[in-house]
Amino acid sequence: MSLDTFTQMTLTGVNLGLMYALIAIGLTLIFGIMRIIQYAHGELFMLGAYVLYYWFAVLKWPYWLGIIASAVIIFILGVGLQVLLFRPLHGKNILYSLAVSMGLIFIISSGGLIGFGTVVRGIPSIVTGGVFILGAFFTYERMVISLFSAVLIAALWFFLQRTTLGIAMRAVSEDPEVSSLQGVNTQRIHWIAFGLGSALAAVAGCLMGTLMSIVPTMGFMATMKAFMIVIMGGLGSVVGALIGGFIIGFIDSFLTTIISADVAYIMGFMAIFVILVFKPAGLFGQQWE
Amino acid sequence: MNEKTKLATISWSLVLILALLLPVFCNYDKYILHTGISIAFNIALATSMWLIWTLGFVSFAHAGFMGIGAYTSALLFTRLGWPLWVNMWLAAGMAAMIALIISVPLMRTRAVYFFMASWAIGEVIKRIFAYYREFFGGWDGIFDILPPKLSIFGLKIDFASRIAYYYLALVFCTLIVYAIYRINRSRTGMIYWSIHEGETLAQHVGINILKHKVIAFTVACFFAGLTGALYAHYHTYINPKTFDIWQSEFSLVHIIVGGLNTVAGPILGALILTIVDELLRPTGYYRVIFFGIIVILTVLFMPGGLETIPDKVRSLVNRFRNNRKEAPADAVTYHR
Amino acid sequence: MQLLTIDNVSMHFGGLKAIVDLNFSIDQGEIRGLIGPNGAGKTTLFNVISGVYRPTKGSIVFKDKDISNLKPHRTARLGIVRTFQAITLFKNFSVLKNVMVGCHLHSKYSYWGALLNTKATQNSEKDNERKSMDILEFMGLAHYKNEMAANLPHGHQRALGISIAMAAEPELLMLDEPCTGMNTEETAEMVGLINKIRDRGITLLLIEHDMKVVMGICDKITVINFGMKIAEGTPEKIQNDEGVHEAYLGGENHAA
Repeated sequence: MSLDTFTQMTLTGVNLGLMYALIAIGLTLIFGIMRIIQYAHGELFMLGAYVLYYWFAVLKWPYWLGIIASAVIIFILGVGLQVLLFRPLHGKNILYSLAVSMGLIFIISSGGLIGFGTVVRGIPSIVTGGVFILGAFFTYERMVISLFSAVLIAALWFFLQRTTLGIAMRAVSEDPEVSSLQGVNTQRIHWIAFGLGSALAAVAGCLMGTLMSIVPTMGFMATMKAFMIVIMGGLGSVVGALIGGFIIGFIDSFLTTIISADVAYIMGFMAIFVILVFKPAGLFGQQWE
Repeated sequence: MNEKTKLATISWSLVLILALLLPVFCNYDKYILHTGISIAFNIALATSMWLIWTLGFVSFAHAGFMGIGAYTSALLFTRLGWPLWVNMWLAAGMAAMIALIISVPLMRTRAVYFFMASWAIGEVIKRIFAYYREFFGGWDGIFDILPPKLSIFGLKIDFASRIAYYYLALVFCTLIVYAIYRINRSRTGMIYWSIHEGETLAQHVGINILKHKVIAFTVACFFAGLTGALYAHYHTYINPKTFDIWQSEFSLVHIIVGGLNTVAGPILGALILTIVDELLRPTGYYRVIFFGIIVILTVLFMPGGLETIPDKVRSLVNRFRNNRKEAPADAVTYHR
Repeated sequence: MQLLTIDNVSMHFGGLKAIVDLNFSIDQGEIRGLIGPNGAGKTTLFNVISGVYRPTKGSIVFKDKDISNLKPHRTARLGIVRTFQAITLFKNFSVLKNVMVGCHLHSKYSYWGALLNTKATQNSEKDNERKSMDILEFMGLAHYKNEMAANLPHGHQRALGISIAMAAEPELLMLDEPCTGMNTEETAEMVGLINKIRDRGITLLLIEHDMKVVMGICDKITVINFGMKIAEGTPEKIQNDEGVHEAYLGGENHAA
């Protein structure tokens, strides 16, 4: 294997890893804090991409503002979903949240097909050109997006470690009963977390939509990747989501290039299966139930 | 309680009689018979998935095992020319064997992680069908899986006829459902529910939970494989996409909407939702949207599922009869 | 005759040493008390004995058989049954059904028999029901038989937990804090029950914080702290032991 191919795969792996991490962290927050299975997470990823598409590609408004707009809109949508659909199910059998989110997938993805059409769309590049690194061509666009993702993840880390709200969220994730006894308003944390997690998925959608193409059915793939990563890394663990994101990012990048996308897929799933058998709570997960 | 059981027996017998007479009622309409066959398959899948649920977990690999059954039968027919009557048992056996092997490591995972692990297995199975073009036909699938003919007591039945296949599907669906009903009603069912309700406690009073989980999973996948074989020879064409996670999801939705506590749940769920789905077909993409709305509404407003409707009706009726005291629920047979 | 021997057992969880070089044995027919401050390792010891954990070092010997590596369903089969500190029941089952699950261990059962509802299976079910009712009467819960377990008052839920354990026909019954959360009346009832159980020939190992109960009912007491045995002997001896007083009793007698 030549150096430039290796470098190419590595850079792509890093790039993918960062974006996967965004959507996975969003899911692990929702999962860890509310203990629900938000199967429709990827649909919010898809909607986020389409918001940016209409904002930037159609209305020609500024790109970065579009990402913020997407995050805000999907945040609000997420809060609405939590309050209307998931809050009534709190404490009940986890299958119910799964069923409701499956219903959501049906609604959102079909709604998307009707509303957006089946045409594959793309978001035009915000910056062209690139550099050669060790023989591999790395576009400025990918660089900017990777940098943005990294900064966002770092900001999130700071938020969760240093701010009151972030610490409260982590507390609820670890032990909801004790947290509420300590005076944390768990209901408020729930809708904030859901909104935040969904917004992260939306941003991931914007970024991936910029680099790749956009279709209304892209949500499910994103959901699958997110779940793969979250379970591998451990429910509720942000670090786990980050590391898991990179593992899957690298598997995808390397195996797709070397063998095929199908094999990358199979290998990803087998990796998860093996990890779960030996570490039933994921790499960093807490054992729950 | 005996009154309740008698009522249930009568109701289900009526349903069965109606099902048997359906072709006559509908004037042998091909479309209705097709729907009937789909209902039969969906009921078999939902009920076998429910069997796994009685131990407390949900398998997202279910459609994958249906696929193993379908592909096994398809290959035995297209490569070796063997008929469905032989293939279906080999197909079910193959699904059961693979389920047995996979279940031992699979049962080491817990709760939500199990859901993911089973999902992974389902995906891998589908991708294996897609990847090996030589053997499995890749994404294009396998064609010309012909339904069998039967010569019995001087009668010649060609199962290419939709009516004949309808009865075939009905027979097997009833057998599968009855078997699962009996398992659930017996002490085996009590053991399964005790694992569901309190695994640690069950273990500590001598129940070998690993053994029971493996057996239940294997049996359920046997039934899924059997259904897959029947499916293959009816549609005469299969491809990997048929057996992906969406199929497992539909079965899960059938169970959740129909009800989780008794065998009536998956039956009612599969029956009603398949009909609803067919009724919505003319609406194009909106069909899936309506389906999603129905699922959400049912979960939010009727969380017990459709199977609780008879009890709700009974309470309403009793409330109108003021002098009748409501009989206490016989909790000994809480889980039928 | 020595029924259960804890032979140099240590239990480490990574860096945490929950049990350290523990040695003691229980004779058949005894009521042995196991006391110590919270976190001393008592429930962990139950978990090691019943098979939830495998001891890091040492072995557990039951009736001359090394059971260290056996899983819980196997130790139950051999005759060791335990209850749990937190109320552990099949909450959605009726009281009767809860106990019938416990009967499973010692009843005839086969998959095919159950499926085909053979005469043998039916008789087995009738036997189990009779046996369960006997136990419920013994424990004073007979009139609750059709009540859902979750609906029982706290004290009766604990009694139900013990009923389920009794149905599994233990030779050694390990009770984890059976009197927790009980008032004086309920405690007295529980003590009565424990005595009745002992009269049936069952050996008992009892974790309990209520000192009146422990001193009153136990033949011998083993005291542990930080995973190690710090004293062992009759109730009088333990009550007068200095080390125990320091570590646990705090110089005064107090009930939990």
